[in-house]
Amino acid sequence: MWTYILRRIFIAIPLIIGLATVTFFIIHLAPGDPMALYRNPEISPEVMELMRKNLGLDQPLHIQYVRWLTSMARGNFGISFTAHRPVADILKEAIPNTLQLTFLALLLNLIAGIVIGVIAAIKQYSAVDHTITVSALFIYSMPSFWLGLMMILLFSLLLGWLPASQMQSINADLFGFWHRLWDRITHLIMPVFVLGIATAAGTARFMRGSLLEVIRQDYIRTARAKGLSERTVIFKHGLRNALIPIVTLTGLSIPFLLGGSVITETIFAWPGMGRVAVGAIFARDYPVVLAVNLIAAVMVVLGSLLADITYSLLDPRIRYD
Amino acid sequence: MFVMNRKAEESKGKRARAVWASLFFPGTGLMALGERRLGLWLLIPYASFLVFTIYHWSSVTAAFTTGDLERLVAALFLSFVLAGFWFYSLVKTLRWDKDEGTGMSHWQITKSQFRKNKPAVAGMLVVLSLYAVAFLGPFLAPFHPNAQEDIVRSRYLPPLAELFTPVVTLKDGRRIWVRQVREVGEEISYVPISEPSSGDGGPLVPEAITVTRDQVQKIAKTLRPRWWNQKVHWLGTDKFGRDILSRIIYGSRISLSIGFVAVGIAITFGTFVGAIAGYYGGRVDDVIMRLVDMILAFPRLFLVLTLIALFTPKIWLIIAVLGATGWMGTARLVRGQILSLKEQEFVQAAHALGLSIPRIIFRHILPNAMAPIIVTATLRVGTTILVAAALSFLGLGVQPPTASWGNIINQGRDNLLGAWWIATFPGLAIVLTVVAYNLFGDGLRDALDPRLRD
Repeated sequence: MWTYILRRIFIAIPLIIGLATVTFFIIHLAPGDPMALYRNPEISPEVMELMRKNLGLDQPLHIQYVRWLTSMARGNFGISFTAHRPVADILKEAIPNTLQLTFLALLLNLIAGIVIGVIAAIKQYSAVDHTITVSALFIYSMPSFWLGLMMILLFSLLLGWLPASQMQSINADLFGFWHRLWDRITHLIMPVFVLGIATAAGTARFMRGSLLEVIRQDYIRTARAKGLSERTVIFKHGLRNALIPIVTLTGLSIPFLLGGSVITETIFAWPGMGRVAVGAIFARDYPVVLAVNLIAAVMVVLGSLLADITYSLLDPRIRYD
Repeated sequence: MFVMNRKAEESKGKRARAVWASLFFPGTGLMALGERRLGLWLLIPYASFLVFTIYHWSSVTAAFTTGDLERLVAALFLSFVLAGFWFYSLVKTLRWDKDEGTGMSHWQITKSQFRKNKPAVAGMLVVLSLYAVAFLGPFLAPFHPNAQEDIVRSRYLPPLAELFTPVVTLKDGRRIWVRQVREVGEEISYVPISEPSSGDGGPLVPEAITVTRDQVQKIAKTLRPRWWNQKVHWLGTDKFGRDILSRIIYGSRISLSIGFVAVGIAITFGTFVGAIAGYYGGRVDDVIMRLVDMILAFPRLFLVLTLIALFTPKIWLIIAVLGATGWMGTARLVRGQILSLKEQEFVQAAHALGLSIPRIIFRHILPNAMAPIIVTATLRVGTTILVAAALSFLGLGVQPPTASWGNIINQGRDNLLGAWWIATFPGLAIVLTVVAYNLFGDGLRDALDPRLRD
């Protein structure tokens, strides 16, 4: 087991370095100058040159690359061109917020997906099943940014039930603990729903198929023949086995959730990684763009590794040696 | 002998009549021959396109001379569709009894399977009509997508607003159709609607007439007279007074073409790469599949955003980037298919015949792997349209004033509560398109490859 995990990590390292290299060169070879932001008749060319030198942009590309790679290996992400703060600090603030959002969305994805999928499978070909199938189709055909806007329109602007944006109310610091928690929860409901519901629709569809396939197996027939109750057959014998492939699906849904967080955070003004990424990309803030891309890649790789390990723990037939 | 001759003669005469019928009106001949369903499927679209052409006759004929490229394309599309239906129905009538009794080919089985799946057929029809709408945009759209008219009057008009106009009924029995009514204390002022004058306009801001309250009997909203002759903003207007429906119609071209072309590129490239990896195996396979894993390990939206934002957003760039980041799934799929196919006897036979490797891959192996490729392509179009819309929502699609579904929704954010219609309708258009594509793709999967069903 441990050798398997170590081997996976060793394979992942060149993969991540390769990715970082590709992004580095794409970003630096793209037209446009990050210094354009500061171009101003009031700033003399000498000062501009000095600033360029300070940011390390005066060096040839391969030198910049080597410098960047070595400092990255030491855990130094550099300094943001626009915020003039260490990138690590910016990310330290943003990543927990994104993780909060994506983790809850993942939870919603799993719980809603599994429950709905199981209901659809148990009541196969009934009206409930058809309703679930049709609404799942509509939900994953829906652009998440549009769903978000419609929810803001309905629940914040028309009904006034939920706050439309940000992570907390402006005066949240003055609240007591429970009030603050409640405030955070109300701010979380819509972003988590928008981020998680599309993947939940996919999970439900997959869960239905998976459970239906398991139910056809011989051991289920044996369980029924033993005279076990339908509940025991479905939940103890069927669901346990049907859940295994869901683990892989969850691992695969992590890139989607991270990508989706870009959109969701933009709509709900959620101060997370996605919003940092969009801002940095538009401002040509190279160190931030590179760091965000790298971290996203690391998260995806770790996610799929975690999913594979869980899979092998759940299914004793699978052994990685 | 004699009886058979007469029968043959009868059927010959029947066919001749049917051919004449098909010559004049496609589909009718086939219906006369007993192919009712096929005949109707040809007749109904043909008739609707014909009615459309006659209704827009003057603009269609004008399109060939004015040199407006958009209208020319629309008119050419119309001619090709009409000619296509006519020709297809004629050929079908002429070959009516030629292909009988030979059993069903693989494609015929697929077709009949697909036809039984009503939602899938509906999805296909919606997809086809969306493309027709995209092509015929210049004739269908009630307004030019960027036309602003009198912006003071026409901005932020709710859907159907112009159908209903306030009417001021005066005590002396006169009913006046008005643009605006304002009640201040005892005074009521209104701006009457003048009949559209012949071109020279009149005053840009018509003068308001003020009367006292006791002169007015009532003020009510009523359906406009002769509303069917009026140009109406069916889905309302945006901040700049532009018609939302027309912008959605014109914007459909962006979404549909990006979806179709980008998936085309991704599928072609993915098939090519997957075929090479699967066929050669060994070192080549290892390298290619590591690369695929590497790109798959990336949140696609991050990559696409980075690429498009750093270069200037142009439609071909968006298509290229979406194509270049969407091929990995197909490559995996094709590789798997080829791995299983290349050991089969017919491939070994092809080897024994001394055929070249490209020929074996493209003529012998790939046609057998086509079904899942077509299915993923269709299902992929939907997700690609969603990604393209998200990009354009973030301001990375086609640049304003050109309309795309994503950027109309983005503009709707400015006044979500006051003008809900701006963001709502383009979103519904996206949902409709993607749902239709998904239904179509699911139906194709069920029909082409029953093993893939869930």
